[in-house]
Amino acid sequence: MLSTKPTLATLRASVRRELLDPTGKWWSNAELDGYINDWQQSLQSQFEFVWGVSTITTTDTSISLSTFTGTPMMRLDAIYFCAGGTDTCTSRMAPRTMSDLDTLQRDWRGVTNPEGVLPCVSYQTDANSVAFFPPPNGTSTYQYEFEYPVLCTMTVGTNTMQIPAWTQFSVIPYCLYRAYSRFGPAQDLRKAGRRRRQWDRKLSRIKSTWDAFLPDKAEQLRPGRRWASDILRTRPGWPPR
Amino acid sequence: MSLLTDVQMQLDESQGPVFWVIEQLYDAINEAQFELYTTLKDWQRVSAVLAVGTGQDLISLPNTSIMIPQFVVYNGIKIFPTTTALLQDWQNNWKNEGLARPNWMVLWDADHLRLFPRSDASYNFNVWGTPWPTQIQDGTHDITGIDPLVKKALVLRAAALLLEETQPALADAKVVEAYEFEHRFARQQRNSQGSNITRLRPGVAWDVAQQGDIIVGRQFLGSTN
Repeated sequence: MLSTKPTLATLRASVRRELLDPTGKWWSNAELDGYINDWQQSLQSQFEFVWGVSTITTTDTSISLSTFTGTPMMRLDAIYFCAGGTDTCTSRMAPRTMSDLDTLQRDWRGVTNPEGVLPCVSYQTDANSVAFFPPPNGTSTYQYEFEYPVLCTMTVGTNTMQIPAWTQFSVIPYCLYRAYSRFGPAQDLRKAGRRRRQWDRKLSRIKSTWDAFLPDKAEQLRPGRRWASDILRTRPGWPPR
Repeated sequence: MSLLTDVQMQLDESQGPVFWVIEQLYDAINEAQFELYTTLKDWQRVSAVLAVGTGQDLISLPNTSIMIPQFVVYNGIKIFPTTTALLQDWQNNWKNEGLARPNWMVLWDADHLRLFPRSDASYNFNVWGTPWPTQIQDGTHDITGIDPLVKKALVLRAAALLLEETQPALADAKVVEAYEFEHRFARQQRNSQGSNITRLRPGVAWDVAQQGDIIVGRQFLGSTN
């Protein structure tokens, strides 16, 4: 069935057939697997097809994203706060920048929160961590539910692709473009150029197909558009848009 | 003739695979099918049941039977599409809304819907959308119920994919030819139902419309009139 997501080995075999290199004389498995993973991550980065949920229970005031224990995260998105570790999700933490906090409360860095006021703001001190404000008092256990686009990887041949199965054949032009443009005895820049243009056409087709998915889809799946501003600057309920 | 034999004829391999292994042919035909299905999104539409259990938040789409989901219906009523941003605007703790029959849905990712509010019982919704093409994996599989113009375009697209590596100029020609068949099919679709009403309006373009595809004709003749 075409709806079945192929494995890394199946994708690699398709690429090898098009490269006319079935035995790996010119391109090693490791090289092609790298290109296939790059292909999947490029599509995931551009279209954010696959999202994940991870729940972190902690008393910490900030969480390091490099040691995040949930499904690997591509970028941070929604964080929902639950008090007590057994509560259901209560509300979404408002994402703010440190400059926003400077404006809201000039001395926010000095707040210690001994009263245990529940945190309601999330901010990032750098790309690898997320912190909460008012800061947790360090003893109460809180639960944070993260929803985010995941980092897609296939490490062994039996791993299946994670992005939708209808994107599977776009792996061929992408990998051939990368393989032919790599310096070496099999380099062929003319073929690389043609495959690159073929890949660009595939990207347009994937975009139009994704746009046809339940046409009024969630804005969160169209990064950089109205979503962020809606969260940061809530519009009035009236007049209706 | 089946799709496979049509493609083999385009490659001058009617007697069997010589320059292309058979798996390459299957790949090319399946890829061409994807290209056509994603271009002609509404030439086939099917539905599949979306079974929702009590309290479920994220629901897996029936993506083994539907490739491009387009709308969701319950009991003849379309479920409203919404966005997480709008739910958030409505109420910050929207996740704590009590259970009820879901009235709204958000496309959460390519494989999941989020129904809102969360379901208070078991319901069977129906998802409508474009189905998956039949996978071509041997000489007996074929595509059925398809317009001859679309089938021709499919064969040419598959041939173009196969010729890309060794005969790029010919591959380009095959793609152009495939586009022509797709445009002919699109014109055929355009002329069914509504457009005919326009033709019947006296003194508008009735006589010109009878001449066929005006725009394509101009392009072929190189005329700017």
